Amino acid sequence: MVSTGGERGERQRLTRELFDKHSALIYSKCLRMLGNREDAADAVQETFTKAFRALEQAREVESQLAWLFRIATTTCLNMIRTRERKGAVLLDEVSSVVAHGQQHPLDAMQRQRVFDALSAQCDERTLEIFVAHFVDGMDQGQIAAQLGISRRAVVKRLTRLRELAKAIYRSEVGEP
Amino acid sequence: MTDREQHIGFFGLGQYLAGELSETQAQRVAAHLETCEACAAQLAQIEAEGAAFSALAEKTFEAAFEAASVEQQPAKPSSRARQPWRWPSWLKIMVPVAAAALVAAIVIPRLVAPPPRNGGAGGAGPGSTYVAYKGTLALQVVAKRGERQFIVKPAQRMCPGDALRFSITAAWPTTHVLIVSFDAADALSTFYPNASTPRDALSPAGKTIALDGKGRHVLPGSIVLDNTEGREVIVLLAAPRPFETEAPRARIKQLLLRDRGAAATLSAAKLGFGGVVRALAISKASCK
Repeated sequence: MVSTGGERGERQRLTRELFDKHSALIYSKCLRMLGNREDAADAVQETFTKAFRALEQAREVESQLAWLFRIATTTCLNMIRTRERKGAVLLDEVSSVVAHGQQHPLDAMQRQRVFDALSAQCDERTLEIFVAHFVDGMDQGQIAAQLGISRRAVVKRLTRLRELAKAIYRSEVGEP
Repeated sequence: MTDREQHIGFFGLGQYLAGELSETQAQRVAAHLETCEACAAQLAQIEAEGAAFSALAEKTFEAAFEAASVEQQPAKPSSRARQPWRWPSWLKIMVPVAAAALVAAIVIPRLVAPPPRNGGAGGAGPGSTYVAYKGTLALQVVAKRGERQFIVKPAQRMCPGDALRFSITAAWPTTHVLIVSFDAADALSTFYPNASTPRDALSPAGKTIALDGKGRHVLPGSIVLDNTEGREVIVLLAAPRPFETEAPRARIKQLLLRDRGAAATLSAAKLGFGGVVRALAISKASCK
């Protein structure tokens, strides 16, 4: 299929509009997850590459920002998984949840291992909920709308996630 | 009271800035910001970070637009007629890997991705963490250690002697693939194509493997890991058409020599490559 000049022009206009409106916020979000500017800029580029490829969805979603946040979340999670990112802000968030109410703080290596364990034991959607709740500060209703699931499902997964986090923490620090 | 209930939250502030809130909601946020120092400070931080990004914005937009456009172009049909391949059992055709040249393990992060659903290049990705280019390419690496087989995951520790088999699920009519590895001795080796790759499986210029047809393809043979210990970076390049490999190979080496930690940031834009780039650092150590 060959796109006409008019279609291409329209596509360029839409991509530009989407980018200009949301890229700074997406950068800020990626910075919160990844902890450094260079990685955040790379994540923004990848996020919008995916978004531009699915431009039709951008017209249909209720909140473009929520849609882009979700793409950015998966992008950043993947970046964290595929290289050592002990400085990633997300790892601190993981650590704070995992160590909540516990006595021993986790060092950087432990945070990385805890994230790896959590990442390995959680399905993708649960990790998305984790990020939406603890990093993006979304409430249960916002998360439910973003992911297209019920509030009850959000609550259940958050509960399960906290239980899992505690178990991983105990395993990491050697507590019974 | 909890802070999370009281404060707007990062996403809520984002919606406020993006104009996604109703008038009533926006007024509520504005009123809250007048009395809440924490939220006002967070808003200021978001705005400052956004201002810092403005210097990078144009370049980032162009790179994203270009990458999205390149991947949406339909591939030209190959001029060479090819028969569908039937690979022999991977165990029968293990590719011996020279110790010095070959590196350790492998894996590409999007391994566990589901296959493309509609064969289209759309479907960006919420829910597709392992597949940045969902609908275009999914890669799975299976390792065999003794009698045990397992899917290789990112950052997985591998043992000498592990044999790796690569499979790619592609949505392009033809997918051209190069897989290289950068080892602890600064050597860049080519995993695919290699000496055992059937000639009729090569792209016209012979520099890449050509996978004909949409769907799942198992790359011929397997890679047996040598006993070199240390961190390895495996890089996959894929495109819907044959590509020149010398420049991206040189660029990969240059970037990784400068910073081995840059494995995950080897973007297509950084390599000047019009396709999909994936990289992963893994480690290999003796298993006793």
